[in-house]
Amino acid sequence: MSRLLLGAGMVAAAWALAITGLIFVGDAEAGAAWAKTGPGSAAAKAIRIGTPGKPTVSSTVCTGNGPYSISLQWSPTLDSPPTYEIFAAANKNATPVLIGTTTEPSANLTNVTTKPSLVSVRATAGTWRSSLSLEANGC
Amino acid sequence: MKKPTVRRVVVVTAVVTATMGGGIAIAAWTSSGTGTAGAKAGTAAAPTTSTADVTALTPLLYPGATGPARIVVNNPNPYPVKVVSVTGTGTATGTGGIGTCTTTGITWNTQTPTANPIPANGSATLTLPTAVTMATTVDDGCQGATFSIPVQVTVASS
Repeated sequence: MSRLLLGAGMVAAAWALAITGLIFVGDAEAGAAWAKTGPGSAAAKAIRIGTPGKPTVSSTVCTGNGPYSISLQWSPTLDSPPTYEIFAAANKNATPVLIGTTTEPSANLTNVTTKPSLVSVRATAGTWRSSLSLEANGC
Repeated sequence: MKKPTVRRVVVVTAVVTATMGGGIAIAAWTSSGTGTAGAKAGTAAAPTTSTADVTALTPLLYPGATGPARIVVNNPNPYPVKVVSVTGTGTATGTGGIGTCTTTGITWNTQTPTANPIPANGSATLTLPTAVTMATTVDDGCQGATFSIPVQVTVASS
Protein backbone atom coordinates (compact mmCIF):
# COMPACT_ATOMS: atom_id res chain seq x y z
CA MET A 1 0.00 0.00 0.00
CA SER A 2 2.80 2.37 0.91
CA ARG A 3 4.52 1.55 -2.38
CA LEU A 4 1.40 2.45 -4.25
CA LEU A 5 1.26 5.77 -2.47
CA LEU A 6 4.92 6.38 -3.27
CA GLY A 7 4.28 5.63 -6.95
CA ALA A 8 1.31 7.95 -7.07
CA GLY A 9 3.40 10.67 -5.49
CA MET A 10 6.12 10.31 -8.09
CA VAL A 11 3.58 10.47 -10.91
CA ALA A 12 2.18 13.69 -9.46
CA ALA A 13 5.70 15.13 -9.19
CA ALA A 14 6.43 14.28 -12.81
CA TRP A 15 3.29 16.07 -14.05
CA ALA A 16 4.06 19.11 -11.91
CA LEU A 17 7.47 19.29 -13.56
CA ALA A 18 5.92 19.01 -17.02
CA ILE A 19 3.42 21.79 -16.35
CA THR A 20 6.18 24.04 -15.04
CA GLY A 21 8.07 23.37 -18.25
CA LEU A 22 5.12 24.41 -20.39
CA ILE A 23 4.76 27.67 -18.47
CA PHE A 24 8.47 28.28 -19.11
CA VAL A 25 7.92 27.78 -22.85
CA GLY A 26 5.22 30.43 -22.86
CA ASP A 27 7.59 32.90 -21.21
CA ALA A 28 10.32 32.13 -23.71
CA GLU A 29 8.09 32.74 -26.71
CA ALA A 30 6.79 36.02 -25.31
CA GLY A 31 10.35 37.19 -24.79
CA ALA A 32 11.36 36.23 -28.35
CA ALA A 33 8.91 38.61 -30.07
CA TRP A 34 10.46 41.98 -30.94
CA ALA A 35 9.78 44.85 -33.30
CA LYS A 36 12.24 47.22 -34.91
CA THR A 37 11.59 50.43 -36.85
CA GLY A 38 13.76 52.05 -39.48
CA PRO A 39 13.50 54.99 -41.90
CA GLY A 40 13.14 54.54 -45.65
CA SER A 41 11.18 55.58 -48.68
CA ALA A 42 8.36 54.22 -50.81
CA ALA A 43 7.62 55.05 -54.43
CA ALA A 44 4.51 55.84 -56.45
CA LYS A 45 3.80 57.13 -59.94
CA ALA A 46 1.37 59.59 -61.52
CA ILE A 47 -0.41 59.29 -64.81
CA ARG A 48 0.72 61.31 -67.83
CA ILE A 49 -2.32 62.65 -69.63
CA GLY A 50 -1.63 62.56 -73.33
CA THR A 51 -3.82 63.92 -76.12
CA PRO A 52 -5.84 61.19 -77.83
CA GLY A 53 -5.53 60.66 -81.55
CA LYS A 54 -7.97 62.12 -84.10
CA PRO A 55 -11.25 60.16 -83.85
CA THR A 56 -12.48 57.91 -86.63
CA VAL A 57 -16.24 58.14 -87.17
CA SER A 58 -17.76 54.80 -88.13
CA SER A 59 -21.46 55.68 -88.33
CA THR A 60 -23.84 58.59 -87.88
CA VAL A 61 -27.56 59.41 -87.81
CA CYS A 62 -27.88 63.05 -88.82
CA THR A 63 -31.53 63.49 -89.89
CA GLY A 64 -33.46 66.74 -89.32
CA ASN A 65 -32.93 68.67 -86.15
CA GLY A 66 -32.02 65.62 -84.11
CA PRO A 67 -31.61 63.87 -81.88
CA TYR A 68 -28.45 62.60 -83.56
CA SER A 69 -26.34 59.48 -83.14
CA ILE A 70 -22.65 58.92 -83.73
CA SER A 71 -20.17 56.07 -83.26
CA LEU A 72 -16.48 56.84 -83.12
CA GLN A 73 -13.16 55.53 -81.89
CA TRP A 74 -9.65 56.87 -81.38
CA SER A 75 -6.17 55.73 -80.47
CA PRO A 76 -5.71 55.64 -76.68
CA THR A 77 -3.11 57.66 -74.86
CA LEU A 78 0.02 55.92 -73.54
CA ASP A 79 -1.16 55.89 -69.90
CA SER A 80 -4.79 54.80 -70.05
CA PRO A 81 -6.77 57.57 -68.35
CA PRO A 82 -9.85 56.84 -66.25
CA THR A 83 -12.10 58.87 -68.56
CA TYR A 84 -12.37 60.26 -72.08
CA GLU A 85 -14.70 63.15 -72.93
CA ILE A 86 -16.32 63.51 -76.38
CA PHE A 87 -17.10 66.96 -77.78
CA ALA A 88 -19.22 68.05 -80.74
CA ALA A 89 -19.45 71.32 -82.63
CA ALA A 90 -22.18 72.20 -85.09
CA ASN A 91 -19.72 74.12 -87.30
CA LYS A 92 -16.12 75.37 -87.46
CA ASN A 93 -16.81 78.49 -85.43
CA ALA A 94 -18.94 76.92 -82.73
CA THR A 95 -17.59 76.15 -79.26
CA PRO A 96 -17.32 72.37 -78.77
CA VAL A 97 -19.95 70.98 -76.42
CA LEU A 98 -19.52 67.91 -74.22
CA ILE A 99 -21.79 65.16 -75.57
CA GLY A 100 -20.55 62.09 -73.67
CA THR A 101 -17.94 60.37 -71.52
CA THR A 102 -16.45 56.88 -71.64
CA THR A 103 -13.73 54.79 -70.06
CA GLU A 104 -12.84 53.13 -73.39
CA PRO A 105 -11.20 54.65 -76.49
CA SER A 106 -14.50 54.40 -78.35
CA ALA A 107 -18.10 55.57 -77.96
CA ASN A 108 -21.54 54.91 -79.39
CA LEU A 109 -23.65 57.97 -78.58
CA THR A 110 -27.38 58.34 -79.19
CA ASN A 111 -29.87 61.10 -78.42
CA VAL A 112 -27.21 63.74 -79.05
CA THR A 113 -28.87 67.18 -79.17
CA THR A 114 -25.92 69.11 -80.59
CA LYS A 115 -25.40 68.28 -84.24
CA PRO A 116 -22.00 66.49 -84.29
CA SER A 117 -20.69 68.06 -87.47
CA LEU A 118 -17.20 68.06 -85.97
CA VAL A 119 -16.15 65.76 -83.12
CA SER A 120 -13.08 65.63 -80.91
CA VAL A 121 -12.02 63.91 -77.69
CA ARG A 122 -9.78 64.55 -74.71
CA ALA A 123 -8.45 62.48 -71.80
CA THR A 124 -9.21 63.37 -68.19
CA ALA A 125 -7.98 62.16 -64.82
CA GLY A 126 -9.37 64.07 -61.89
CA THR A 127 -8.63 67.73 -62.52
CA TRP A 128 -6.00 66.90 -65.14
CA ARG A 129 -7.17 67.30 -68.73
CA SER A 130 -5.44 66.84 -72.03
CA SER A 131 -5.83 69.13 -75.01
CA LEU A 132 -8.65 68.37 -77.43
CA SER A 133 -7.73 66.00 -80.20
CA LEU A 134 -7.84 66.99 -83.84
CA GLU A 135 -11.43 67.28 -85.08
CA ALA A 136 -13.05 64.64 -87.26
CA ASN A 137 -16.04 65.15 -89.56
CA GLY A 138 -19.29 63.72 -88.23
CA CYS A 139 -22.63 64.82 -89.68
CA MET B 1 0.42 -12.58 -1.50
CA LYS B 2 3.98 -12.17 -2.84
CA LYS B 3 3.20 -12.34 -6.57
CA PRO B 4 0.62 -9.50 -6.70
CA THR B 5 2.96 -7.21 -4.72
CA VAL B 6 5.83 -7.70 -7.16
CA ARG B 7 3.52 -7.06 -10.11
CA ARG B 8 2.29 -3.85 -8.52
CA VAL B 9 5.85 -2.65 -7.99
CA VAL B 10 6.73 -3.37 -11.60
CA VAL B 11 3.66 -1.55 -12.94
CA VAL B 12 4.11 1.49 -10.71
CA THR B 13 7.80 1.72 -11.57
CA ALA B 14 7.03 1.60 -15.30
CA VAL B 15 4.41 4.33 -15.06
CA VAL B 16 6.63 6.58 -12.98
CA THR B 17 9.61 6.07 -15.26
CA ALA B 18 7.60 6.81 -18.42
CA THR B 19 5.99 9.91 -16.97
CA MET B 20 9.22 11.25 -15.55
CA GLY B 21 10.89 10.68 -18.88
CA GLY B 22 8.30 12.86 -20.57
CA GLY B 23 8.68 15.51 -17.93
CA ILE B 24 12.44 15.63 -18.29
CA ALA B 25 12.20 15.84 -22.07
CA ILE B 26 9.82 18.81 -21.93
CA ALA B 27 11.94 20.52 -19.31
CA ALA B 28 15.05 20.25 -21.48
CA TRP B 29 13.26 21.68 -24.55
CA THR B 30 11.96 24.59 -22.47
CA SER B 31 15.46 25.53 -21.42
CA SER B 32 16.66 25.58 -25.04
CA GLY B 33 13.77 27.84 -26.14
CA THR B 34 14.55 30.39 -23.48
CA GLY B 35 18.17 30.72 -24.57
CA THR B 36 17.32 31.27 -28.23
CA ALA B 37 14.82 34.02 -27.45
CA GLY B 38 17.42 35.97 -25.52
CA ALA B 39 19.94 35.87 -28.39
CA LYS B 40 17.40 37.18 -30.94
CA ALA B 41 16.43 40.18 -28.85
CA GLY B 42 20.04 41.13 -28.36
CA THR B 43 20.99 41.34 -32.04
CA ALA B 44 17.87 42.88 -33.63
CA ALA B 45 18.70 45.48 -36.30
CA ALA B 46 16.44 48.07 -37.93
CA PRO B 47 15.16 47.41 -41.46
CA THR B 48 16.27 49.50 -44.42
CA THR B 49 14.69 50.20 -47.80
CA SER B 50 15.91 50.26 -51.40
CA THR B 51 14.57 52.11 -54.42
CA ALA B 52 11.47 50.40 -55.76
CA ASP B 53 10.80 50.05 -59.48
CA VAL B 54 7.41 51.62 -60.28
CA THR B 55 7.67 51.42 -64.06
CA ALA B 56 4.80 48.96 -64.32
CA LEU B 57 2.90 50.05 -61.22
CA THR B 58 -0.84 50.45 -61.84
CA PRO B 59 -3.25 52.09 -61.43
CA LEU B 60 -1.44 55.40 -61.72
CA LEU B 61 -2.15 58.36 -59.48
CA TYR B 62 -4.10 61.45 -60.51
CA PRO B 63 -5.76 64.32 -58.60
CA GLY B 64 -8.34 63.02 -56.15
CA ALA B 65 -7.34 59.37 -56.50
CA THR B 66 -6.03 56.86 -53.99
CA GLY B 67 -3.55 54.40 -55.44
CA PRO B 68 -0.67 52.05 -54.86
CA ALA B 69 2.89 52.55 -53.68
CA ARG B 70 5.78 50.14 -53.75
CA ILE B 71 8.57 49.62 -51.23
CA VAL B 72 11.57 47.30 -51.03
CA VAL B 73 12.30 46.31 -47.42
CA ASN B 74 15.64 44.79 -46.47
CA ASN B 75 16.03 42.60 -43.41
CA PRO B 76 19.61 42.81 -42.01
CA ASN B 77 18.89 40.21 -39.35
CA PRO B 78 19.84 36.55 -39.55
CA TYR B 79 16.21 35.67 -38.82
CA PRO B 80 13.05 36.00 -40.87
CA VAL B 81 10.85 38.99 -40.06
CA LYS B 82 7.53 40.36 -41.23
CA VAL B 83 6.51 43.94 -41.99
CA VAL B 84 3.87 45.04 -39.51
CA SER B 85 3.46 48.72 -40.40
CA VAL B 86 4.58 51.42 -42.82
CA THR B 87 3.86 55.01 -41.81
CA GLY B 88 4.50 58.28 -43.60
CA THR B 89 7.07 60.64 -42.08
CA GLY B 90 7.42 63.60 -44.43
CA THR B 91 6.70 65.37 -47.68
CA ALA B 92 6.87 63.44 -50.92
CA THR B 93 9.07 64.67 -53.75
CA GLY B 94 8.32 64.22 -57.44
CA THR B 95 10.73 63.86 -60.35
CA GLY B 96 10.40 63.12 -64.04
CA GLY B 97 7.09 64.92 -64.56
CA ILE B 98 6.11 67.07 -67.50
CA GLY B 99 6.92 70.30 -65.64
CA THR B 100 7.30 71.86 -62.23
CA CYS B 101 6.25 69.42 -59.52
CA THR B 102 6.66 71.21 -56.21
CA THR B 103 3.25 70.58 -54.70
CA THR B 104 2.85 66.85 -55.02
CA GLY B 105 -0.38 66.63 -53.01
CA ILE B 106 0.70 63.17 -51.87
CA THR B 107 -0.40 61.88 -48.46
CA TRP B 108 0.60 58.49 -47.06
CA ASN B 109 -2.09 56.26 -45.63
CA THR B 110 -0.67 54.13 -42.80
CA GLN B 111 -0.33 50.53 -43.89
CA THR B 112 -0.49 47.44 -41.69
CA PRO B 113 0.34 44.53 -43.99
CA THR B 114 -0.81 41.14 -42.79
CA ALA B 115 1.42 38.64 -44.58
CA ASN B 116 4.78 39.93 -45.76
CA PRO B 117 7.55 37.58 -44.71
CA ILE B 118 11.12 38.63 -45.38
CA PRO B 119 13.75 35.89 -45.18
CA ALA B 120 16.84 36.19 -43.04
CA ASN B 121 19.27 38.70 -44.58
CA GLY B 122 16.84 39.03 -47.47
CA SER B 123 14.54 41.56 -49.10
CA ALA B 124 10.91 41.77 -50.12
CA THR B 125 9.06 44.09 -52.48
CA LEU B 126 5.70 45.19 -51.14
CA THR B 127 3.00 46.70 -53.34
CA LEU B 128 0.53 48.47 -51.08
CA PRO B 129 -2.70 49.06 -53.07
CA THR B 130 -4.13 52.01 -51.13
CA ALA B 131 -1.01 53.56 -49.66
CA VAL B 132 -1.15 57.04 -51.21
CA THR B 133 -3.76 59.67 -51.98
CA MET B 134 -3.15 62.57 -54.38
CA ALA B 135 -4.90 65.84 -53.53
CA THR B 136 -6.54 67.96 -56.22
CA THR B 137 -4.05 70.72 -55.41
CA VAL B 138 -1.20 68.82 -57.10
CA ASP B 139 0.82 70.71 -59.69
CA ASP B 140 -0.06 69.95 -63.32
CA GLY B 141 3.67 69.43 -63.89
CA CYS B 142 3.50 66.29 -61.73
CA GLN B 143 1.90 64.36 -64.61
CA GLY B 144 4.08 61.34 -65.29
CA ALA B 145 6.23 61.98 -62.20
CA THR B 146 7.67 59.34 -59.90
CA PHE B 147 7.29 60.14 -56.23
CA SER B 148 9.59 59.32 -53.34
CA ILE B 149 7.69 59.22 -50.07
CA PRO B 150 9.54 59.19 -46.71
CA VAL B 151 8.28 56.40 -44.47
CA GLN B 152 9.08 54.44 -41.34
CA VAL B 153 9.00 50.68 -41.61
CA THR B 154 8.41 48.48 -38.59
CA VAL B 155 9.26 44.80 -38.72
CA ALA B 156 8.74 42.09 -36.15
CA SER B 157 10.30 38.68 -35.69
CA SER B 158 8.20 36.01 -37.32
